[in-house]
Amino acid sequence: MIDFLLPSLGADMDVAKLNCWLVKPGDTVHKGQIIAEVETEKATLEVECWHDGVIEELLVEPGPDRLPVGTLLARIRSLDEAAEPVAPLEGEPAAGLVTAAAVPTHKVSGQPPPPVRHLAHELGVDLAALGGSGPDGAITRDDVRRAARAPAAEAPEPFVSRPTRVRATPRARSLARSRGIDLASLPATGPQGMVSAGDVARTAPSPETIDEPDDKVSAMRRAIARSMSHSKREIPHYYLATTIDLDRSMTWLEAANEERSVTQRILPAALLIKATALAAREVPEVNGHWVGDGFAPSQSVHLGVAISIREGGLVAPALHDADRLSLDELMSRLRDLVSRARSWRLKSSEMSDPTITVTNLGDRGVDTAFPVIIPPQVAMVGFGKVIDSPVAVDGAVVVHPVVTASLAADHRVTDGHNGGLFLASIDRLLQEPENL
Amino acid sequence: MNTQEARQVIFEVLGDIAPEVDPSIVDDDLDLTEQLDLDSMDYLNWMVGINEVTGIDIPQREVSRFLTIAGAVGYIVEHSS
Amino acid sequence: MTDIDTETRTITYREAMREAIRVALLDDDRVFLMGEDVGRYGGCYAVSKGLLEEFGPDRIRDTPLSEAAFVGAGIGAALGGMRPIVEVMTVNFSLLALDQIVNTAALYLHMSGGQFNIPLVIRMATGAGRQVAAQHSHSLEGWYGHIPGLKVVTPATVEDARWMLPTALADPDPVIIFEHAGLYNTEGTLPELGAPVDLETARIRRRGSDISLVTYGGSLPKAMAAAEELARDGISAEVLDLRSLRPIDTAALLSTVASTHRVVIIDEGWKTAGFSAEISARIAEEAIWELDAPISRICSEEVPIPYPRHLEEAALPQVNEIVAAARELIGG
Repeated sequence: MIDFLLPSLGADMDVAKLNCWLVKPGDTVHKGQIIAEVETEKATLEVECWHDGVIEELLVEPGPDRLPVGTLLARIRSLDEAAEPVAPLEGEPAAGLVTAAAVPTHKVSGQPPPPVRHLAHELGVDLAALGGSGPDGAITRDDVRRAARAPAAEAPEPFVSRPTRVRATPRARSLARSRGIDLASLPATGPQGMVSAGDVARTAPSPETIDEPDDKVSAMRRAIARSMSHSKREIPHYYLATTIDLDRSMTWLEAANEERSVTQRILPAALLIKATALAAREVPEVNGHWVGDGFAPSQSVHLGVAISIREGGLVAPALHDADRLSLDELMSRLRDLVSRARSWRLKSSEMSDPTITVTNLGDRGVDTAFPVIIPPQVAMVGFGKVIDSPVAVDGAVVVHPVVTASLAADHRVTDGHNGGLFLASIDRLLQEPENL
Repeated sequence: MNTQEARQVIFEVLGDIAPEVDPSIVDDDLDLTEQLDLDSMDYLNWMVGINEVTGIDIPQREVSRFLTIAGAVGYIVEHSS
Repeated sequence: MTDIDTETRTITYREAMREAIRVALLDDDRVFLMGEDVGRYGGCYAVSKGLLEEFGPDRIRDTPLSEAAFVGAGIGAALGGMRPIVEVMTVNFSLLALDQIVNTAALYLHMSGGQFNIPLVIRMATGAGRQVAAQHSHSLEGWYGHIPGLKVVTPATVEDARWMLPTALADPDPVIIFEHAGLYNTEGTLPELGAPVDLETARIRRRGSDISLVTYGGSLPKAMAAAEELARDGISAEVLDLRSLRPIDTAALLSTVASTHRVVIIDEGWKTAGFSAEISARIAEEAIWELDAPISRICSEEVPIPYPRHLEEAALPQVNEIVAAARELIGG
């Protein structure tokens, strides 16, 4: 048996009056045939049925009552079925409904019509709590919409890029990267307060346009001067130093190098660098950048290695992920880095990525370094010359190779406590060289 | 490899590391650290370069011979086949 | 007016287009012009004035008031071996023929597996500025530029008005020519001897070094005026006339950005999802590292184009807006 329900014949149609039937029980009807006429507030409409069959029973009389959409109006027996007694109403999906949402049948009174219920469901409105303003207290769409109206949504916050990011034009970024210039140290005279290409160009002329090493060096010296001045001006440095017993490390290193050909030889510097990188993991406050107003720790340890350039000049390119390199890998990368640095073949990412830098002045015969932090980093580690020195071991005096490790750190980010912990970590790591 | 050839290799590799060096003014017997401002990394790269060109290995205990040109030349001549 | 000494003449955009149509009719029997009021009335913008008298009603055909019908007929004629020039009075009315243009003309070559070309030329007037109100003031060139299967050109100079048509007629596939109605009265000089021009490349109309003004069609005079004003302030503006919206001359676009590093795009269409967005995207995709300032767009305000003169002016791109945008990008 097919239920013939009052369909919704318009987007806002909720109720209609049944004006008249065009068929009677026993009539054969076919799909598309007009079988009733209804009247809404807007118009009089013809209603067609959607099935072939025979009218079994008309359940509603034409009259002035406003019937909600979905009202069961008649029953149609499909041609396959034999005539049978009327089955009781069950909540099955309506066959004759034209609304967008499939809705079950319902009783004529009590519940709001399906389109209203659907709207309430969509808008998250509890119908049970609602009063109706429609005829006979019926709940209308407008009632639902009114109930659903939330307090005015807060205006979304205007988009502001992270305040710690230096605002620079793409071209300025590109130029600064290729010249190893820190954007944060540049004036910003471009549009919308951005660092522009002109700001970069005025700060350091292009090394690409100059071929003579001499000019490269003087350009570099100017850049260093600017960077170092900026550093000393802006960064409140504090200094700590400690003497590290390298006996275990040097002994281990000698033995390790015995087994290695010259191409795989490990220099002491590699041990110091690896130990520093691992220590930076243990004390993350020394590994990262000062941007804008605060410290942005780095997820990776890209160790800058200060490399002197022949005939004057200094670069400190990054050994990426230094903490994760094996000692052999680190050594090989370090050699490559140094040779490229000294032949002016560094990559821009190596210039812009260091998260902390190490300077190793041991070869120059200096005992202790007092480094100047390279902005926007927040720490720099220095190692002096490895010298044989008397040390106390188990109550006796022995001569061991020692090195003085010093830390320059940004007092805005760390204090003596963290700095001390960091140096202590380096010390501890160098006592177990086999684990480096 | 004779002395002449060894010298050639040595200075060629050194040229990559210290390109501004004029071979004619280098004193064969003086410490290169002072003369040419070489650091430990330079030495290592130099020895690695020589090894790559000649195939001769330079174990740790022999490294001190490379503090002078004369020492380096001598080592290479001794160890070339 | 003919200047025999230098062998150029001064001619209006309207006259140039008329001459192009006339010469096409003379050269090729397959060419005919069809559209509303093109015959007896001489064309809504007087472009085809005098042509009916010269060529007769078979070749200058007044059509019924149904864009869908006569554009469809044009497609049929093209399929049948003719070379029709269909004039749709304005882009506003082309909406009634959108299905013909987008679903038939643009697609037959593809859907026939390459068997059927549709060598149709559609000419449409476009643009605002004459107080003809919201329904008659659209700039929808960008919509057509969106459709694969069409070529879309926007002649902005007298030379392009004269010489784009023959190339379009020779093209075996549909070409839409947009004529900004505000350009018809503009004058320019043409050499006596000219040649058909391509439909794919952009042209630098003014060389500059500080900022690029990228535009097409009816906004070109405004861009040139803005460049003049900027020059008085010592700012050297380069003006790029796109000339064709499909295909876009990306190489020329990237080249001007690489040269000046700042760009203002001027488009009489609306900004949202407009053609200026496509130009911006190409620059951002392929020349981001050349940009020394954000991309700036000067478009019509997001309103239906108003009828009162002062409101219409406020809604359309104006020279002072272009100048102000350029100044802001130069910064300092």
